[in-house]
Amino acid sequence: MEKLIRLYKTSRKKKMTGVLKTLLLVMGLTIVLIWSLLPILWTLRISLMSKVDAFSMPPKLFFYPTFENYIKLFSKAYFGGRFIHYFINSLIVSIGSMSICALLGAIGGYTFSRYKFKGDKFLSFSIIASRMMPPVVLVIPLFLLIKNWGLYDNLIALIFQYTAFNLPFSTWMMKGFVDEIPVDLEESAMVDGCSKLGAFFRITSYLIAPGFIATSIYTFILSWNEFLFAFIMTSTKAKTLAAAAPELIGEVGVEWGAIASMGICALLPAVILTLFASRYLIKGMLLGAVKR
Amino acid sequence: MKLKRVYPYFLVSPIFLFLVIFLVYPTLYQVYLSFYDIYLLRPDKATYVGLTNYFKVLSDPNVIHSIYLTLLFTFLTVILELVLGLAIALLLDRSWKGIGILETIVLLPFFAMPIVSGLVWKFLWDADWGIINYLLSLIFGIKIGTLNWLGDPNLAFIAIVVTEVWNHTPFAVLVFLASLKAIPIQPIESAKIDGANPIQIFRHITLPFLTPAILIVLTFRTIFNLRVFDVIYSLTAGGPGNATYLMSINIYFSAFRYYQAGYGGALAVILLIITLIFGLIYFKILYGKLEV
Repeated sequence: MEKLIRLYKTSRKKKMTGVLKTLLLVMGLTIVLIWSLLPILWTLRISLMSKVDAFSMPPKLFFYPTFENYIKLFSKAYFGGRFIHYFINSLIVSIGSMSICALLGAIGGYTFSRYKFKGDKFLSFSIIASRMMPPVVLVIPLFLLIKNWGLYDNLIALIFQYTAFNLPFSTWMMKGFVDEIPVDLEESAMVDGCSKLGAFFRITSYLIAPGFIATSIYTFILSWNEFLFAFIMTSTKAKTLAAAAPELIGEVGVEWGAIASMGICALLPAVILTLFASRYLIKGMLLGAVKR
Repeated sequence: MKLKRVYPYFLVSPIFLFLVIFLVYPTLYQVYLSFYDIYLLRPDKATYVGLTNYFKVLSDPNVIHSIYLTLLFTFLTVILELVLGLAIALLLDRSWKGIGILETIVLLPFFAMPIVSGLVWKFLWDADWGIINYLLSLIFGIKIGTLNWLGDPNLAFIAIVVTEVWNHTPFAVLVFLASLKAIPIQPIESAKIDGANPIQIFRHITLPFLTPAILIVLTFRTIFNLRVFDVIYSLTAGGPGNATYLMSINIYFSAFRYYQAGYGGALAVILLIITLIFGLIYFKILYGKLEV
């Protein structure tokens, strides 16, 4: 009997600590959630507010949402009507550099993973090492060079520059993905009469697809968000959304509604991509960066 | 046979073409420029001055201050991102229903445009209208307007550290989460059977498994935080006074506001050397003995 009571007590105790543990976890997760989301939700809130509502203290919990800021963004009030132009520029630059990075990164990653050749270690290390180059160090010489090459205010210049910045990263990640795939798979396909290229397209390419998607999303977002180069290398024709952001800090003072609505629009592509592929992102990291 | 030996070099050559034209050549050009006295808008009228720029830079107390701030900023942000990233990843690493959505939300700040993040946080930090002071008044009863986050030198430094940590902690979360998911379950299970407590399990099983991830986060965050520009440019632009005048800001202003390309160039080369020192130490540890 005594034994039973003791058993009952310990099981109760265990249950209690279990409940306590869950409670603490939920609390922790809530704090993390607020920390991550509050600035973004606050931005969304300001973007839907009139100027008067935005500057109220204490902050209004309830307010009439207005799309005034978004209407102004797409019309001439903010950015002088060039918002869509900048947005499209950003898209062109990001997709362009993402595509080149995806192609060359996949080829490079595959080569470094599957071929043994003289100096391969040195070459792959020098690719990673070039990732260390701070963009702010390159911005002065590149400003002069780009002007000399006649590529100032040209989308091509940005696409190539971002490609160079992101290639080390995409090559490195793709090498990690190909490393994970057993060579036997390709070899058995080749025994069955596939060419090396055929084996790649029929087998390896399917297996590295998650990594390929993850890498592409990263390079897209890195280009989409880049500010310094776009700001210095463009004036109007090739200006990207990020580079245009300082325009909103006008002489009359900062237009908070404009910044908030522009910020939400700038976050949209990334959010859509992440919702669509968040499991690839984590899986991608797992394969590409960590396991080595 | 000969063709086969050249093949891998042929495959990786486009990558090196990009890196050489857009990273290596500009870097060398930057070193070259740092020995000249150049007015950015008249690069044709450069005069060779030897090491004068370096003497000027290193005898400028403002530059020494910049270097000190950059190192302090990098140290604080990297430590905070590492600890917070690990804590958040440990919280998120469970198989609850709907945890995937939480993961996506936690990753969101990573995708936010840094230049816009800076502007948005400017509103959050605002002494009179910001939500941070409002929350502090609710929780700790600090009167709104007492803490002038962006106006007070010490507080402004805290503000840029917190903003940067918000922006890039998700990177650490991603790496830690990926490697936590890769930890095999058996050693933990058998340790539990042997009566190990959670702290012992973390210390002796989880942590050793996480060592590569910790090194990756340290490497990448150090290299990237040494060069942080966007967030600080839009949040404080180096101010108030020179409280947040990091090296990246100093390089940018020297070259693109005062047009002293040679002086800014020397400063850039110093930042590059600091980055390389940290980078090489980390890479050496990451790769063990490097066979180059």
